[in-house]
Amino acid sequence: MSEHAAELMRSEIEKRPGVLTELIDVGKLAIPVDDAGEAVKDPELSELMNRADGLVIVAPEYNHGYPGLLKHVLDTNLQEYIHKAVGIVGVSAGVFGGARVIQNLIPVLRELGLVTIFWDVNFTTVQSRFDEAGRLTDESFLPRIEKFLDELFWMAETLRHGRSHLPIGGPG
Amino acid sequence: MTPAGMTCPKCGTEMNHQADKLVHPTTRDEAASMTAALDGVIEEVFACPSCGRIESRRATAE
Repeated sequence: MSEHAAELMRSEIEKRPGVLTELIDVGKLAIPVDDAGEAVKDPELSELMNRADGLVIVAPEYNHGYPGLLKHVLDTNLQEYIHKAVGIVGVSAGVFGGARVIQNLIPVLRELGLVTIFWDVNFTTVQSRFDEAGRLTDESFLPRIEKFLDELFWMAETLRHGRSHLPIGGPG
Repeated sequence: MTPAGMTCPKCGTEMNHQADKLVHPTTRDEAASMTAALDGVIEEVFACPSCGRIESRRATAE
């Protein structure tokens, strides 16, 4: 069901002018599991992360945490993320809408150098939010997604300016 | 820390030194150079103002 949420987020992002979006399914990446971190960096994923100004992570919640595969994939990059914006979309079958996966992801993302926004999207009881074709059945989610994206885009543009023009420690 | 800048390998523009990230050492020499206070080594991160490319390198003492 997270795939429907991810597709919805992509379609909402693509409505904004001047934005290029890539949907990455971590389950389809051929990243080895016999090592971890940048030792198993995928060049194509690295290039995508390098080009990105911001990330939206759509994460299902398992046993109050994030999927191990998501953490494994996130750990394969570092410099590519630093001072870039990230927002988290939590997905769960229950009423908390992935709130706990979001809280558990935030310290990981911070250590990776990503800058989290304070808006989240929570797909509660996700099995009832999309029909079999993946169409959203409850449009009350759309205004929240708009707020989430408003902040994400503001943060992404602000951080892009900072990365490009503001030296750490000040000029000279 | 390293005072020199970095040129973008993609477009040749002078890059902006935008972050210093504390990371774990990956070699014995790096581990030996750590101080207790820092508890890691510095990775200098640069961004290109023209094309947005990100690059990084280990900081070296002057």
